[in-house]
Amino acid sequence: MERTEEHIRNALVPLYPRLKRFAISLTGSMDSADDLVQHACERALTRISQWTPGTRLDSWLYRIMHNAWVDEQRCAYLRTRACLDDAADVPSDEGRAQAENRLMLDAVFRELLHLPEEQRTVLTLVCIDGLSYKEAADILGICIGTVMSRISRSRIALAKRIEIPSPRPDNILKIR
Amino acid sequence: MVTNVDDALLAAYVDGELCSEQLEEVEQFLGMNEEARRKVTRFREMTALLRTTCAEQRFLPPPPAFMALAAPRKPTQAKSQWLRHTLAKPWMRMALAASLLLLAFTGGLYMPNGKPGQPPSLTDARTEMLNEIAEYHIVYARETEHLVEVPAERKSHIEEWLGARLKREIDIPDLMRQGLEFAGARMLVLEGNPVAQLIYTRESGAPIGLCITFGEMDYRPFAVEKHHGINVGHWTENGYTYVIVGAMPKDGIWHIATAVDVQL
Repeated sequence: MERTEEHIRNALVPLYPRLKRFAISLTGSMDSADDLVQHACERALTRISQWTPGTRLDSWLYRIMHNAWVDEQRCAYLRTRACLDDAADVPSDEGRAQAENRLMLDAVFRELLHLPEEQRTVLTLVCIDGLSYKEAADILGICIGTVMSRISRSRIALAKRIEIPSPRPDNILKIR
Repeated sequence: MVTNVDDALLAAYVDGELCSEQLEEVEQFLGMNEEARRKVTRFREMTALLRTTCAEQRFLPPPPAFMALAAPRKPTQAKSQWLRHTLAKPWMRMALAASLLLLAFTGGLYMPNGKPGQPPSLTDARTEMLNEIAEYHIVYARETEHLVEVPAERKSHIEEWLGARLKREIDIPDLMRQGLEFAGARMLVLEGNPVAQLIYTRESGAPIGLCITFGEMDYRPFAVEKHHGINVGHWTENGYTYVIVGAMPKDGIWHIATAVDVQL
């Protein structure tokens, strides 16, 4: 058991960006996401016996986080979203192309967060994390058919909000 | 016979979720329907854009409370003066300390040439980029379960995804003759630019990274520098910069670079 706990603790830091990314997709807020990640990982460390070594630790933590989010009725995590606007601030000494590229990515990120929670979460798990529909369905506690319909709706909804640019640094994203 | 191919089925096609029968049906449908082909392209572009937008380092660093939670229960040995000076961020110092221990045990650690306590000089954007690539490599190279974001089994997806972000064709180089097995890939974003990071493992020694990102049109010959104690080989050709990073001697980096240059 001690070894399992050490394994989980060691894996937490490398997994942090992905945990936070999923938490943001649930809460829609950068600040609230940190609280949720912390809460979910604390909860995970009290339930180590429920994790089977050799299975995906990230999926197990995602499930715990999703359950924690549902348990807390979401409202406990709803705080300021000001930091999302801060994300667009670009230091003045950056090159123009770099600044524009960063602005583009920040704009896409903001548009993602404007989608409903159910769309953000499937996009994060399937398109960004690369999980299968089944894995996403297990984490979210829904059936595969629901994941399938949500994922196409989410893509279309996001596509309506943005025009896909060429990834070269000299392109600017158009937000509708 | 092609019947009802809706958006959900097209999305599942893009996500690699169809069985062979459905796959055949959708491909037949795409062959006859230009609008559906455009939609599939747009879905793929959307996935590539989302992955770049939400690259892992956007969500770093972890806050102190999280680092405390992740810290091992037993007290760790004091970190060296060099490490404390090399990395300014506390979370990165902790991650790097653990990584260097792992690299040392796998036989691939090379200490920097400079005096202990001296931070690396950041003279220009290139140096800074190489420095960051080395930093991220050290952190990710310690991973076993989560070494990569997308595993090698999804090679064609990786080629499509990273190729879309870098606006070029990417064929994952085969480096088996150099003793390296392709493990998978992840996307980094440095200074707002996408960096494709291909990770290779080897029988003994820490993993090796091959990074590809946009560079100048002018040719820059191969050179090796040391960043954070590991060798970083790089060259620029036809608008792209290639970086080989890993805990191995300069000769080894050079051999890999030669093999990559021939294949890419």
